[in-house]
Amino acid sequence: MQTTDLLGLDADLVWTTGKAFAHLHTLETAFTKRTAERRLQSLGLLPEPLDENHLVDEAGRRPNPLLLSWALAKWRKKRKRVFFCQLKDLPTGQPCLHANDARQTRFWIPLSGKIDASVLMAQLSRLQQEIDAPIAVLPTGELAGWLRGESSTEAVELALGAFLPVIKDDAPRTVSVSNDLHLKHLEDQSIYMIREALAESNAAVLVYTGSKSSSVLLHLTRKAFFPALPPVRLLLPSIRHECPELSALKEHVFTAMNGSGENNGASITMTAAEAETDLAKVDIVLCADRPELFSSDSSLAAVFASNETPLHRARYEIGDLLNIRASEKRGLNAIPLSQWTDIELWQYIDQENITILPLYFTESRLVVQREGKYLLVNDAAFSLQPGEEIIEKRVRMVSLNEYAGQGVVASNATTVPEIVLELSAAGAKPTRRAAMTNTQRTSAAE
Amino acid sequence: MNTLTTKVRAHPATQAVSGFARNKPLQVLVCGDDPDETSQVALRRLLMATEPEVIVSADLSDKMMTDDLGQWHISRPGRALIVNPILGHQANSHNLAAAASRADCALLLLDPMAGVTGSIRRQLSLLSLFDVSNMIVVIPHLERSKQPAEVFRKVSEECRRYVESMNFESVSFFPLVNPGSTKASKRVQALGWYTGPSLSQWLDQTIAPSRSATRLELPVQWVKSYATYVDVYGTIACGSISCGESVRLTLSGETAKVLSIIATDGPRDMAHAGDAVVVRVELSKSIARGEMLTSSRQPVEATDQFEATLVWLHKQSGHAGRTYDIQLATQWSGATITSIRHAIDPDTNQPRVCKQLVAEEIAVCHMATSKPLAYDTHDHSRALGRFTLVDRITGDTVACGFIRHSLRRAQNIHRQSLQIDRASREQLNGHRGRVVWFTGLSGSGKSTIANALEVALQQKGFRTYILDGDNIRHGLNKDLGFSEADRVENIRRVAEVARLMMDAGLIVITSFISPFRREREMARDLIGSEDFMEIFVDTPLAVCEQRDVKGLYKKARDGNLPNFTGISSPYEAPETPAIAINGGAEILEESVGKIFALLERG
Repeated sequence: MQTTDLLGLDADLVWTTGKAFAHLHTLETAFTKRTAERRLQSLGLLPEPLDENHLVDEAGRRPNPLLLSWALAKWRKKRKRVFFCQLKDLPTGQPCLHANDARQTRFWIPLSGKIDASVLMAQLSRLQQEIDAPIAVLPTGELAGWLRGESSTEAVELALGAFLPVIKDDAPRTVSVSNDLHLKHLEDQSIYMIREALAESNAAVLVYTGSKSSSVLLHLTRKAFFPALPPVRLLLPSIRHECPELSALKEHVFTAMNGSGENNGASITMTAAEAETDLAKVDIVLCADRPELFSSDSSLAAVFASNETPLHRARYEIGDLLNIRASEKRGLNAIPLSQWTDIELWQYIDQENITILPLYFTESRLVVQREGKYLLVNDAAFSLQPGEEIIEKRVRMVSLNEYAGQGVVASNATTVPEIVLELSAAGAKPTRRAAMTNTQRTSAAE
Repeated sequence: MNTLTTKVRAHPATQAVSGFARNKPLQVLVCGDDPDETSQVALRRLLMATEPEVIVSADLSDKMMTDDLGQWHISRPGRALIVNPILGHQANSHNLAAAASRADCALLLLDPMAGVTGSIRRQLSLLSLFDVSNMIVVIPHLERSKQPAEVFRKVSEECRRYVESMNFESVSFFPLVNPGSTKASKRVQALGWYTGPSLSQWLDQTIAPSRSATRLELPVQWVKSYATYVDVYGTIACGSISCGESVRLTLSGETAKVLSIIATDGPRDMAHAGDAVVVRVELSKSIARGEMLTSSRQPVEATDQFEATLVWLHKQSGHAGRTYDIQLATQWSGATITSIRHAIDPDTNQPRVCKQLVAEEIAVCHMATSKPLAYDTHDHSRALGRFTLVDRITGDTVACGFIRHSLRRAQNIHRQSLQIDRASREQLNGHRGRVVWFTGLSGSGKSTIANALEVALQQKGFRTYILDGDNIRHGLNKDLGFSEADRVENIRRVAEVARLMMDAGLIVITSFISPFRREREMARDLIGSEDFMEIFVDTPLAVCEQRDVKGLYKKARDGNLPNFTGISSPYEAPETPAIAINGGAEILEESVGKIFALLERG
């Protein structure tokens, strides 16, 4: 630390270089703007100014350039002043919010007390009042993390959706807080089946596509073998419509599983490429999704199709006697969620606080309208067709299957209960997933 | 991040949607005579009715959720119904068995015009076997009759008489007047005489049957062993378990203290039937999947021979002597049908003679398993008295069974332990006892190679014996023919004899067509795979037929020889024989050399 005496430049104010000069002038430490600037420099008060090429999110990832340039163009048109903002401690160790625009105008607001999203939003409003014109804010680093999920106002507009998504690390509950015996019955049954399948298997994989049902399946599987690790390998196949949100979720799951897998190495994940060589040995495939979801060239799709499904042919389930044992020649697909309806899945996700793909919940997102459908612009590779315009809309994804062809839908459902209400209000018959008759009828909802 | 606060919990919307405080759903099996559309709709409306309605209004709007499996999902106050209709062409034994095994109660449709037919009787026997103890018999289309009350009484009497001797706890009858043609007032009149409960009342009063036995039964699905304790994973089939109690592991005979219990909703002091749990017991030994955890005060027994009622489900028929995989709770083992006692005639409920088990047959059989299994009779325990048989090759479920009683032979016959054993005889002989099992078509050259092999072995001082198909059939097996069942028994006896001779220290060479993979697997199991060497004499059918040493192929082609392997009966080639010999092309010495080399090596 160079100095702890900042000559009063850390007072609770919205500071500008002009104000700093005036302040230093009164202190008689600087008589020209040039010396004031040099003084600021030597104090180490200000971080390097930012521009659009140096933005990263809290995980150090660059934003989507397509959406970034879209946002900048939009603001230019509206004549908004664009500020690049960051959090950087003052040399005293005090946190401070810094802002600069493209013309190197600098602002800083020393912060005190606890920092959270609402404090930061309030400070941004203060900045806006100081400028006395509507502003747009492009945060970087830690600040980007804080401002996720905050919504723009007329005066302070945030760079919505330009950053890659993150998955909130919600620890799933191991203790249910509900006494819904109906859900508990479904849960007990699925856990029974998962244990039977994995206990009879020598080399099982769990297919995790990122759909909400695969999230439920993973949760149930971990719960079934808690406190030990499930004796199954996690397979993260590439599906037909990868998107940054899915990649982030898979990465999150991968890290979580491998982190815990260090204890005995029982649970390790493999990518589809690694799996290719190993898939021949796989005898049981635990899955919650339709096989169409896997990309058609994936070797997993081929294995899944050639495998038997319980009840397929003549594997009758007599009560608890599931006959869930792969025969010598053919593997077996086990679908432990066959008895769950879509609504029951949602209620269970809510009850257990399971981390699912954030796209399932409504947020303001950037979309284009194409052939009457809303397509999400969340991929750097997304190409606009002539005449198309990116717009902001409150949308959510209904299911991973529909997402590819149908895109997203306009919705206001931001929580599970709201989604459930929306599902039933739409009069949509909650499709109960077909159980395990054969591979064509594996599961319905997703 | 505090997730509890970021999520809206107990939102009124959830209650509005789920509607009710929910219990475990009631599983209802619907079977019997195939109803027409109006009967089905009427049934569904009555099942949904929140008021105790007996009469269905003519408005047939039907907003029920039907899933891809054809199950109806009905929300009723308090609990959901999952209705599984097994009707019409679906009402075969395997569909009915699968549904009955899960059903809490049954609803049987009985056409008053047809009465208690053969098909109804068969379905009733299955329901009774599966112990679906609560049943309501619905008699539809009473509006077609001039005297509905009379018809209803007559049909229900007939049915009641039939089920009297069966295993039902309660049987009720319900008259159904179908909506449609007749006017509402007429329909009300038509049922004025009925004073019983409505369908919905009956359902609301029906509780899922709870067994009087409260003994703990916890089949072990998976285990994880630590230094001083073992975590046992499973779902409690019956009774309850609490921390601190002493439990018994049936198969290993150990007793252990319960240290802790984790259910899906967290740690518990006590867990009950239906809970998927992890039970931590104090034990320094490892145990295996298939163990049975019971209370040490009320232990269960193990047996390897028992009498059971089998319901045959598969189109491929079953024979005495065949070996299958048995699944009993979480236990798997080999199981042989040692004898078929008799079948049960569904029409008369009386025993009748039965040679083989065809699909839909219900028969009493004796079974022997390759290791002792924790068991109980089906009267006492659903979990421990019920099993399935699985084909070893295809993995198909071929039958389900219900244990009647143990054949105590398992406890009575103790194997005579002898002082001279196989090892000492082998030492005297200077070589191991083995079984060299030839298989191949008639005329493939099995006997020729077997003879040459024996000569070669004799010259090197090996003690040998040949069991040849034709010779054995003249003596030991002269009572057997060539039907599938007799072929199975033929091979079983040969395998037993070969095992005894191997035990005597000999190298036994068998030369039988042995066309079925299952029988060869049975022989391998009996003899032990390390002593069993399968030699496939793979001579093309055309070559065998051309040789036709005994003139059998000609006879078979002329139709004078039924069940002739390769012509009118299948030959299932081995998938992984120790050695495959192309009998059409290979030189005899070469083939013998290969087998000899393999014998010497191991």
